[in-house]
Amino acid sequence: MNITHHLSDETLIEYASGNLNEALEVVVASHLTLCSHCRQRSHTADHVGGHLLDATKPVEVSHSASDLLNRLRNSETDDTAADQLQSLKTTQKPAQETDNARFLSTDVPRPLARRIPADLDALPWSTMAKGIKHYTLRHADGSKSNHRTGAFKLLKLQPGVKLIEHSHGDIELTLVLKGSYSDSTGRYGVGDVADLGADVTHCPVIDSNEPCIAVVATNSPAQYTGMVGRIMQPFIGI
Amino acid sequence: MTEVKPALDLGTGGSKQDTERKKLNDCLVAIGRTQNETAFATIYEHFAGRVKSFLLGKGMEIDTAEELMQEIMLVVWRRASSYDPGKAAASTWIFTIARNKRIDYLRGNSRVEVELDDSLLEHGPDSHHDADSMETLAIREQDTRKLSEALSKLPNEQQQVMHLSYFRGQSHGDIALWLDLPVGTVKSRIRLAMQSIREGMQLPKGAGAISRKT
Ligand SMILES: [Zn+2]
Repeated sequence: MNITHHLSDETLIEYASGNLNEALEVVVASHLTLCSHCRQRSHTADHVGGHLLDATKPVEVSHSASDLLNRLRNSETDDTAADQLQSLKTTQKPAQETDNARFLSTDVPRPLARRIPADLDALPWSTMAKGIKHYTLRHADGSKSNHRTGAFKLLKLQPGVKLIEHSHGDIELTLVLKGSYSDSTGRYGVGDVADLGADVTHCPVIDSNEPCIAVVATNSPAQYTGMVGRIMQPFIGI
Repeated sequence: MTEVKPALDLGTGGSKQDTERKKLNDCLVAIGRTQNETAFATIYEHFAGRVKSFLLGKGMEIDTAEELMQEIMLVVWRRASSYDPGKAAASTWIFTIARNKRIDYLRGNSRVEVELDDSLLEHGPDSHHDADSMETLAIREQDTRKLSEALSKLPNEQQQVMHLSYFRGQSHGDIALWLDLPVGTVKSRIRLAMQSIREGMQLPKGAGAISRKT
């Protein structure tokens, strides 16, 4: 694999900070699977987070370490307290996640494979326009993306298809899974990620012999109440 | 308007910080090996208020932040045996737990991460295909010191956006709004900061500057 387009520092830091929505995390983790260079950068961003945690001024806490351990000890002998302690809505990674891995499509990196029911060719694609098909992805909880949560979808574009000139929302990631396309910012092949900001306007052309399949995710426009005057254009995708 | 002055003390990256860091790493190891409660008290003393500050900074209600902080510190207690000081500082290990727990809490499902047994996982050119050494948060002690030095040498405006990115708000758009700066300026400060950090740690360059065949 010859990856020439990588994640930006800004996106890696948003990922390290826990600021990205699930759809963007899927695209980031999928690129990180295919790109050890960005994986290394992502680790550095985690280390920066650790250092900043060290450097942060602590706030006051209401309980001591021994309070906490006592509470734990009591909870181990008393189920009611254990329930109280577990009352927060937190989840563990389901055990099945690793167990069912062998049933997943190996066409695409695992973070994405977990969200599609079949190999790319076997998906129930729907047609958006001539030469343009899409498949709407679901979040882990089964929900689909909408205009409030941001986009999360696969696109399948026939060779020669040219998209109209468009610009982007605040964060938009496109990861190529099959085929390739080109625009004024370069050529994007399998594994390449387009991490373009709002300031970029472009018109991509599919230049591979086979259809180009890409996964697209955007941030949630609702989060960006402060972005006065910036309107998320109804985008086709990449 | 939120208070945006960084409540931050990056020190000078000197040997006193090294000693302190090593002490915390050792405590975490002691908890993992022997469930040492004194060591846990030291870890808790140092990190509980910082983890809570992280949660509050990200917009969590104070009672929820306190409760989630306690849950995070219990995870630290329970999982300390999986901590390896050769791979990450205690602070990095605890930071990733806090970040992930916050996402669990907000979303009800886990942060999406690379799966190390993925058949598509690409190994770097100098990898020995050893999943353990390749795919952990491996960082050597001298790298930790270099990172610490690089961070402390950043210009104030860059320290500020880095701190705000990790510990305040939920996007770079938020930060731009608070600082009354264009988003592009926030992003370019982040890029400059990461560039200096990589240079300080003698790591390869960032996106765009590199075209790599694998
Ligand atoms: Zn990359």
